[in-house]
Amino acid sequence: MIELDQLNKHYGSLHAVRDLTLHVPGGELFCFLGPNGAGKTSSIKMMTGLVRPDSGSIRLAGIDAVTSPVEARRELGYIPDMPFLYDRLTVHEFLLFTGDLYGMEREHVRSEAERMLELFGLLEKAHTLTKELSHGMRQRVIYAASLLHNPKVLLVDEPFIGLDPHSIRLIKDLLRERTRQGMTVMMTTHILAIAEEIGDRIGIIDRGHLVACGTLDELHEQNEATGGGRLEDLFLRLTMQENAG
Amino acid sequence: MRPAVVLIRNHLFGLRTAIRHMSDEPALKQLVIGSFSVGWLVCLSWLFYSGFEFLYQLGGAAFFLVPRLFTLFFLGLGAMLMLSGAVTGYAQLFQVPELKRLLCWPVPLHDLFYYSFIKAALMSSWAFFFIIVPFIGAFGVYRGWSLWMIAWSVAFSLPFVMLFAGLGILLMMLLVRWMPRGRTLGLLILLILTTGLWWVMGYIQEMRMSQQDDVMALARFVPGLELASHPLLPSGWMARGILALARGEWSRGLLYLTLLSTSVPVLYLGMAKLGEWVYPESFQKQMRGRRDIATKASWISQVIHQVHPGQGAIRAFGVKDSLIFMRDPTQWTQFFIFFGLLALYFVNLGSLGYNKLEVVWANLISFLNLFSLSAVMSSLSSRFVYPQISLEARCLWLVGLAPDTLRRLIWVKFSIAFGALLFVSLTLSSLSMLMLDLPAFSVQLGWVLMPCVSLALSGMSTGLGGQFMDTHPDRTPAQILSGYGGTLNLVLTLMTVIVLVLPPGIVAHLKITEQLNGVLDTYAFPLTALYILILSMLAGGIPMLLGARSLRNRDF
Repeated sequence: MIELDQLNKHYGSLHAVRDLTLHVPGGELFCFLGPNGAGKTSSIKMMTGLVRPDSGSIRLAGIDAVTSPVEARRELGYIPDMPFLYDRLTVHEFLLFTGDLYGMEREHVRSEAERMLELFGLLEKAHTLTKELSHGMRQRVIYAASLLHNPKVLLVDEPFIGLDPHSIRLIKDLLRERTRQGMTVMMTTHILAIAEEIGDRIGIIDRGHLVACGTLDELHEQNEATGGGRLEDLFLRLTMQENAG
Repeated sequence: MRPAVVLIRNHLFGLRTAIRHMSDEPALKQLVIGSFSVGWLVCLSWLFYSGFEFLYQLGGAAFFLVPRLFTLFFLGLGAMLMLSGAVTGYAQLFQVPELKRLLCWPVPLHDLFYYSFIKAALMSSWAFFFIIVPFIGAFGVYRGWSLWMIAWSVAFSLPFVMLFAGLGILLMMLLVRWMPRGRTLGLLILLILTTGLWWVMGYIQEMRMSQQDDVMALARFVPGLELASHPLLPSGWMARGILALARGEWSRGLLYLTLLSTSVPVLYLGMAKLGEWVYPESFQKQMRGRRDIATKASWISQVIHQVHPGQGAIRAFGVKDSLIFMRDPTQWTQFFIFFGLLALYFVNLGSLGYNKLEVVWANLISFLNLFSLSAVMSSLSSRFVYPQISLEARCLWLVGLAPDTLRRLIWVKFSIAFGALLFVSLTLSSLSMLMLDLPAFSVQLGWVLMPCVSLALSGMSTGLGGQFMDTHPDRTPAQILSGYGGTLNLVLTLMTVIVLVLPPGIVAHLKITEQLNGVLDTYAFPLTALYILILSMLAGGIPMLLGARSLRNRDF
């Protein structure tokens, strides 16, 4: 579902992403880890089409995202770490706006919006301006909007920042449920415990290089080979080695 | 140290820092602001000087007219200062982000009012620099005043500005506290105000007809003159005081200065007492009111869906932008004040007797009206249209990912801006031309001109907005506009207005005065229309193409 091949991106003299090759099959929840400035967000933004790669190819749900970005975006949902919402729209109006942007039929948008409001516990807040919502509630609105068009691939950047335990549980359950239904989810996070808990596979990127990739067991095996310990130890060792090097 | 003094000092530090960093601003912006300020001062001073020159050519009448015009001038300025004080005071007492912090700190309410009062007075200092200085300066130069008179004028201006800014705050607090919010009460007040206005206009008209003395004869030409001369008005004290000092009547001049100066603390005391009484409840009322706005204007969504039943980005942005516009009072009040004033003026063209003028003059006034309407459209397209693409950049996680939306965003924004400007320009220009009873040639030219001006302005502001897109997430529209691209847009739209409106105005004048002959006379309309069409398409089209290319090739 997500196929990245020899992806490269430069910002001036900075080589932000170097020869990134990665395949995430359908129905997998892939956790993308890395220190700040490692190239996670650049990689995700290249997949969304907001940043153009210097070289390499991106295929999302079988569609070449570089040559056919419009078709690829139909199958894509993206949730950034600090998303902006239009303050003076109500939750319901924001969902209708999203549906219109995706060219969905009006009746279909209405029924999907109702379903999303119920799923995310937002029915009571449907006619509240988004600026009146708490951070957790805003985050729920963003998930509802991103899933409204039922994408096949979901990219999530730091999904758990500032959320209360109820919202964290809701989102974890949702991501698991969606991947079971066949959606491909790629998620970046700094919370390694969550990556261990819900990730089917984990990739670690540092200075633009994918330095480790595999299931938790595979990473543990690799970890034991390089000195043992938990995912945190492997992460710190790999990223420190890179930084020292 | 009193909290108010700390706050004022902090505000002054901020102003000092802003002034020091002015040299960091784009050179174009500095050049534009500098040349506009100097140009304004020079032109206005020249205008006032010519006016005084004309008045004194009338002989003895000038000695009768000038004091009255002084009172009228300062009354008008005072009214503007009150409005300015009310707006600044409202923002300071109910809107600024620092307010919530201030209310949590141990800052007594009267200190908060004092701070707001001084801030409003500082903000109102534009009146001194840009209106009082050229007016008094022109009069002083013409009458050969000594330089001391400038110092006296400053001494008068300071309490004058503070007094009217404070009156604005006072009025605003009363309005906020007791202005009803219900729809029925609002309609009732509107009805009472309309009836009252109607009655006052009728009364003035009746007085104009019945009285024949000199003052009333003058009042026929200059409305409001009698009111301005009222002895209890502070604007009159300012006018009489300055003129008395200029004539060497020191005791009379100083009496007016004392009267003006002592009124300021009295006003502040009244404002602080009233504020302590009404402010807490007013603040709560405003907070409640903001929540009430939530569901207002949702009918817009229904209307647009009826008009545009399909699906897609234009409808999505049309609904979204309309809702945000209607729920943001700072946006629609600016829009309605500008166009409302123009509409009021155009409706009254008949009352001013302009339609009875010779057709040459009526045509000239009509093109001046079209120019002023286009200039207002230029400033409003800079204010509202130019920042649109940058503002949407904050929501790229959604807008940028929706299929094809990013590529079409600039065209969608152009369509919405063009539709809005077209509606306003055609309505107001038709109103102006109708009231002036113009010949067919001028009307047809106006109808070609205004859609083209709308096209050029919306294309230029949208396109340059895309070309100079500001993706910083925390920028306000004013900050986006104050950058290099925003300044360039303002200058270019104004220049476009000049080159679009001026030549057709000249052609219409030549046609009406029968100075065109032969082929030029026969093809005057199609040639002028072609000129307008080509120029507006270039002015709007080139920036659009540049903006679209910039969006296409950009990394976000």
